[in-house]
Amino acid sequence: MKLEDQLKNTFDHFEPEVDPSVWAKVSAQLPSSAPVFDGGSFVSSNILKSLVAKIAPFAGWIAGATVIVGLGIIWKLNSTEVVVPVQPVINQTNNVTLPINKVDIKQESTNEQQSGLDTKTEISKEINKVKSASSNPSKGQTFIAGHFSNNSTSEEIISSQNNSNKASSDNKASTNSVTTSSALNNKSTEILSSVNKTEVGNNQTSKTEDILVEPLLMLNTRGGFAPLSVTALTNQNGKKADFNFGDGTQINNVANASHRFDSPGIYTVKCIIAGREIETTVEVLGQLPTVFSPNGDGVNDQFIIGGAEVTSVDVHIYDRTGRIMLNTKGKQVIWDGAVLGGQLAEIGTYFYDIFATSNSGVTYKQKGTINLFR
Amino acid sequence: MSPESSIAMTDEQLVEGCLIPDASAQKQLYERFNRKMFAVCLRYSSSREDGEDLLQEGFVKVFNKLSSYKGEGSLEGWIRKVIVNTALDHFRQQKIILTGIEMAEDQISDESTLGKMEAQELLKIIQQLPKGFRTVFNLYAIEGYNHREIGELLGISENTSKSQYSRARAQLAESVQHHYQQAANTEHP
Repeated sequence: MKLEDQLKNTFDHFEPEVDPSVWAKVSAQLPSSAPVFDGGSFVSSNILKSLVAKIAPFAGWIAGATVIVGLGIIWKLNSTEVVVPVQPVINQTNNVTLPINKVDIKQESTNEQQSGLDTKTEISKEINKVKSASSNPSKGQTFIAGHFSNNSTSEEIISSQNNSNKASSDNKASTNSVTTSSALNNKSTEILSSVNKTEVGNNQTSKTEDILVEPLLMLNTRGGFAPLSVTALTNQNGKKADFNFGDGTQINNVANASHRFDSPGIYTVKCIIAGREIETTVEVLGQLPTVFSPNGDGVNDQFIIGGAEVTSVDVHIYDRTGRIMLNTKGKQVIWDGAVLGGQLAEIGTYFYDIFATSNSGVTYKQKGTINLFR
Repeated sequence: MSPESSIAMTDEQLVEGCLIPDASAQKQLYERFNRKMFAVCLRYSSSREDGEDLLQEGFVKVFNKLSSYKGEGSLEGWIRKVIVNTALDHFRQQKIILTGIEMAEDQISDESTLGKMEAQELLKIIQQLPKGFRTVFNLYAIEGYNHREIGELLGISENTSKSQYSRARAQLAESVQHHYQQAANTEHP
């Protein structure tokens, strides 16, 4: 066999694990999508699955209802305002993989008219959820923000209205719509009031169900040496939250918050979003200097990494051109400012990558710079 | 990764979802290919960190350019091409000058072990190659481009590509023989 073929084979099934931080960075740069971090897709797909399971008995109805929504027949006359939130995502219907068969439109629509309105609104709500769970989260979230408005601050109501006029499940908006559409058809009023009833009745449960993605608190780092800058954000598409960094720093009503930890310790970072509290911890190890001066005067002659608070550190130090200056592993790593060959490193800025394993057994990766003076 | 992490969608459905853009489709597409593409990135990089940076940049390009994927050929092949091109962009930006010096056949060292190494080990010594060697080696040996195509991609002559490749092979073989130690100290000639 040719060497090239052997080499290709060597790499054929080579699939190394990727650090989760890469996806965090990628998703942050993607157009109009909420970052879905670890567990994000798990949660959202579970919501989707549970909804699919829940609506399975109504499957035929939904097929009918969905098609009707798409075509804008009968349904529109009866309950324009109820379906409106669905409209922005109609085109994405095909992306929802529902285990259902298309059913004859006319037959289903007459069935609907004969049956109770509650079921109908139930269905339309479920459709909304399924659609928003499987389509553009920002659109879905706009809709959900409307649902939320009953329990949340007035500011959120305003923002949801600003984002979309179609957030009609908002109480105020739906009242307005009743006035305009009731002249045409009394049924729409009934539907709306039944929607409101359902919402009030299910207030406790709907609050949790209406969150598109289970709220997650995400940090850019879980730990490392001080000074450690930590940025916290949630996966709720920029929705405002209150953050507490566990050392007395509280930052309220922001989409994301940053804080620098200067002292070692284990801190509990909390976030309150949509009435829920989520927390995680940050482990701050000992202090790393930003400057050292290996000139033999006995002051700051060494760049010392690690010590008592870690079980090991793996340190790589590079110069500006990427040349490696130090590549050492140990409980404590010391750079005396010499290059591998023995001669003295030049004055300037050096870059380090540190993999520190704390006494709690977690390995933290940290990048930074150290300035060398003499 | 975890079997329950997603409802299985076909590549086509994923692409459609990503074009909406649907965050969960984007995440699934990434999950489907990230490890394979990370393997590609690592081969073009000198360290794991550089590989991660390349993977990040490459995937952002993948998502931005996805609308230009017309379904011709496999999605994986298309993504791989975007990732490799990202690596080559870096190579071109650095303006590394490659020169072609023909090697005598007898200079080529014993390569018998080279083809039998584990990916992880081979990767280590590939990462220690000078960037020029590494790039040409990857393009020819793994990606399967011919020397004329490599010449066009890198703006060098076909002969330069040939000689870079044979020297890369020689250096790899030597590195293997010296227990993967020697390559780091061998300067780019």
